[in-house]
Amino acid sequence: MEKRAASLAVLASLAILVIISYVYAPSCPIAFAPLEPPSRSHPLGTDPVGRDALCEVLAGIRASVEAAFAALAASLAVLSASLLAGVSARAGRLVDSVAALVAGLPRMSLLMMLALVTRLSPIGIGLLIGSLASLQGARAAATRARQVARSLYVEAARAIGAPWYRIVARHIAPNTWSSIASYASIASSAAVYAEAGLSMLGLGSPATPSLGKVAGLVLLTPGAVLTEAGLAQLVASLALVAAIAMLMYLAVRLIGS
Amino acid sequence: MGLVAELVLGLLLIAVLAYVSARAGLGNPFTGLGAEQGLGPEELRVLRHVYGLDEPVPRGLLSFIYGVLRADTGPSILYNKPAFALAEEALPWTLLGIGAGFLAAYASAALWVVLLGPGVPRPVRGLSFLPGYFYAVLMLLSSWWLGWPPALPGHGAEKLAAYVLVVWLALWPRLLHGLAGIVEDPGLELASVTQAMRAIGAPEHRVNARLLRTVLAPYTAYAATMLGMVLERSAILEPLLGYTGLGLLLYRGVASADPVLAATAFTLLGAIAYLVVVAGRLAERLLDPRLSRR
Repeated sequence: MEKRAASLAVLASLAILVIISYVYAPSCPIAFAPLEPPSRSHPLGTDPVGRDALCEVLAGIRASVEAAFAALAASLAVLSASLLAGVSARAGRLVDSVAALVAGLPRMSLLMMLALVTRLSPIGIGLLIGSLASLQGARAAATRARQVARSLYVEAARAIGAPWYRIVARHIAPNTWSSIASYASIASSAAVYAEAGLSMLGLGSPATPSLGKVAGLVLLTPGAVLTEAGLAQLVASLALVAAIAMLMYLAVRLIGS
Repeated sequence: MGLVAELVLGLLLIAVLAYVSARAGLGNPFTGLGAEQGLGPEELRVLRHVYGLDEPVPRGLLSFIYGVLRADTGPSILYNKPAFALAEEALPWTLLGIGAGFLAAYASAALWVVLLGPGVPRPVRGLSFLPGYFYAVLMLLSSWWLGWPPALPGHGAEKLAAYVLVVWLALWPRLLHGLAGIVEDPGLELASVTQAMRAIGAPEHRVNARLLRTVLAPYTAYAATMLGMVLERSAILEPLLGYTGLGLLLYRGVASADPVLAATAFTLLGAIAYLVVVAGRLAERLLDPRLSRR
């Protein structure tokens, strides 16, 4: 119970962090000399185009968190739908086939290809990664739901006339929740990395600040990485990407455990 | 669904995704290139015909699939060369870099289990979640600070070594994590084997070697799915490293709005990654004792 409370607290603090970033870093104007070293007024220095890097990093956090929560929502939707489908043998087989077909599809290359059509927002990336990364889990969720649906206590519940939604809510969902949370945790952390990776290569949404964009700007500006400010921004942005991905992974997994 | 049907449908889906994304993003590349103003209607008509823009989508899709099958998908706007020839030229370099990195990771994870046992320390488990591009960024830093690998794009020996290193760094913690998971799986009932070997006084490395031999088939099947994953992620690793393989070609196709190049590189890369994943699943079905027992 304590672990679950801690996990919910982590998720809530990430959501609060997004709200704070909207309040304190709604936009980061180009108003300073580029690559100024860290100082009291600019704790991470200024970026290669002359914006306060801390402001950029704060604003970038929301892209990562948005991608993570969007992936979590998409993943939970896909996995819950497969759980419901798994109760019926025919629908379960359909989930198996679709998941087998799509699970091997290239995800990162597909996101890159989609950049030809539109530059995806963090939420768009999260929704796509969340759905695609959960397909392998969808098979497992459907199989597990099928196993539980065949168990004696579910037969007993049916025998006393329990409606299907009650059986799903009382028996099937609680017995499959752990594996669903496990797959959803992987999907949400994968979305954080995918969003940062695409933005680092300049294929993310141009109007949205992102931690990947902060890192990419430093890497693509000749010599920026050799400056104190450039290095601080690179390390801070990548460390935050890894931290957000890891926190999402652990928090969602612990809620399910 | 049988594996063959799944394979055919999967490859078809990749081709459809490639064509539809390229076509939807394409619109009119000549506008994007700022060339439309200088072109007359007849020149535009010829260009649209050359790049297959005058065909309806279903017919264009069939032409694209036929083009992939006969290794001619049309010219690349960026390089002014046949896109398939460019992809064919880049493909071996991607396969070489990823293949060598994969083999090194496969062998080092197996060696770890033999020498140190199947237990994986928490930091190594943590590393298995880091994406490969973190290591590619490390290589970029090394390139700036130490002058190695060389900064200019290419696929020379030093670039190849850096690529192999990145793939190895990204893959071995994952393979080790997966291998440890297979060894610890109660479904394989390995505890009795190890207990019996320890009871007769077998040294620990022999017990571990025996463990590894028992799980080699499922480990190889798992490793194959990881290989498929890293193959498709070459599209992120190669641009960061400046390694001129198929992944970089895909990135350049997308970044420079060259849809023919992007669609060709995506189809090839996606198809190879998909084939590897399906081969891994086939190996799993045939060789994994947990599945063959069912």
